[in-house]
Amino acid sequence: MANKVIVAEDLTLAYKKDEPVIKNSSFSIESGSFVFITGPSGSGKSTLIKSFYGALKPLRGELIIGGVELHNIKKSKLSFLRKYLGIIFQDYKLINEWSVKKNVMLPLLIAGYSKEVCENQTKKLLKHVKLSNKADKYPLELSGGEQQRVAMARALAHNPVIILADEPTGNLDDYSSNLIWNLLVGANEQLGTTVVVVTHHIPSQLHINFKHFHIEDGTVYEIS
Amino acid sequence: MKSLKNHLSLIIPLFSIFFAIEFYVILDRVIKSYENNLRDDYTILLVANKDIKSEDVSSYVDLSTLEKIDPKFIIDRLQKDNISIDIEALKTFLPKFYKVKLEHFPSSKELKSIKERLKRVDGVERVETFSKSHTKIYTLLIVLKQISKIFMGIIATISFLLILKQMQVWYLEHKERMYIMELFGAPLWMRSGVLIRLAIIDTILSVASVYGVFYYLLNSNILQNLIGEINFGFDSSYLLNDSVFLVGLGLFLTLFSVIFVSIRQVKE
Ligand SMILES: Nc1ncnc2c1ncn2[C@@H]1O[C@H](COP(=O)(O)OP(=O)(O)O)[C@@H](O)[C@H]1O
Ligand SMILES: [Mg+2]
Repeated sequence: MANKVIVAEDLTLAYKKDEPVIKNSSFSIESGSFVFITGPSGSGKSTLIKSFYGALKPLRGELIIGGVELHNIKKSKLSFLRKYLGIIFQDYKLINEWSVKKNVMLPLLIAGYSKEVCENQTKKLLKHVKLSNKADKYPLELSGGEQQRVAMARALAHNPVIILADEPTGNLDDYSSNLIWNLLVGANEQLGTTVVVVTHHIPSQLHINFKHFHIEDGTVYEIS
Repeated sequence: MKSLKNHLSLIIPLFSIFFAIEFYVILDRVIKSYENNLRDDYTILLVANKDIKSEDVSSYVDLSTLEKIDPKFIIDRLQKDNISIDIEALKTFLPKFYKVKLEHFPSSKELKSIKERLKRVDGVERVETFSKSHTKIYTLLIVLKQISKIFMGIIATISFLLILKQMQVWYLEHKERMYIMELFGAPLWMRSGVLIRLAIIDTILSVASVYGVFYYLLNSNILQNLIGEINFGFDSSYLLNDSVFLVGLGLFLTLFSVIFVSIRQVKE
């Protein structure tokens, strides 16, 4: 049995006690896999991702990520888990008062790297996302596609064990979308990072082995 | 500009609290020092037909010192006037005089009962109190102290409300950033870094302003004259000690606010 990095047992997620969004679902994700999660709008894709990074505590059941029991964890212990995650949000969630460079640097600052390491790593990442010339700009001076590329660089900065992406290319231009897909695949293939992506449709141009979960009527189905 | 306004809206309430406290503390110190002066100047005279020990008196009043007055001054007087007398005989015949100093300066009301009690001391024949009562300055100081106490309460309440208000502004202003940092696992001190810096800087600036204002006031001519009049030894090292205390208090208040704001953040 391969190493399971995400395990859900009888998982129920809800914002209100009597209105579960995900009901009694069991599934697992192996370390190093590339996972797509699809489902109609409002089916609970974002909700599931949120529970993965600890922003929503399971109502019932078990959820274990990288050995951390999220159904038991105290809020104050979440930061331990989050240091090993790289998260990409549909609405970017960049810090608008910070320069592009500093945004990318955030996980490195949190990890406590030296200034030199932070600078070098950030420079490298900005090159990967083709934004070297925007390092000193602020997020609101960038296009949506560019902002998401900044978020992508931030998610990769600290070499996370798991990347969680919630519709990362939802409304981006083709150039930015392709760049982001390539970087996600690259991280998965070259570094063995587990990648979990919520998306509307699975891009056909990607030649990778992936797992596919589909959410419908509150249940998580494993399609392939 | 926005950050200046941000600073001011914290500095002003902090300054008000510190100013009120410092004003009260200094006033209290002035009054104590003034009372000490009065007390040191104040003596009660006892005339007794036998020797009295401090223990005899201290069971009736809170005695500071009991001092026997040498009758020599009476004898000297007599001798100066060339009256020939048997000094030794006179010494046994003269009553004993004592100077009583109290632990604190009595009010006129207290004085009456003190007099009555002293009369009950064995051997005491007469008690001479001097109705050198509280001066106008003293009464003024006491009134000022009462007023400043009330003001301190009002100012502290209003200022605390302003600080709470400012906390809310911080909360809204930094909510998003702190939340994002939290999503990436930043510890509390890092998420609140900006606020902690704001709290520390503003506290220090407020205390420095209070120090400055009081330093100026206490060294100004009018106050110097008044201080001289009531014999208050003003020492600027007091002000420095008080400032250290105020910085401590300010940091406690502001850092508490920061932590309060940050903890609330976790609940998102
Ligand atoms: N913060 C929230 N509070 C209450 N209900 C929510 C919240 N976020 C989402 N929901 C509800 O949960 C359901 C699933 O939402 P979501 O996970 O965002 O769907 P998806 O990402 O699949 O489009 C929806 O019915 C939505 O209205
Ligand atoms: Mg969604």
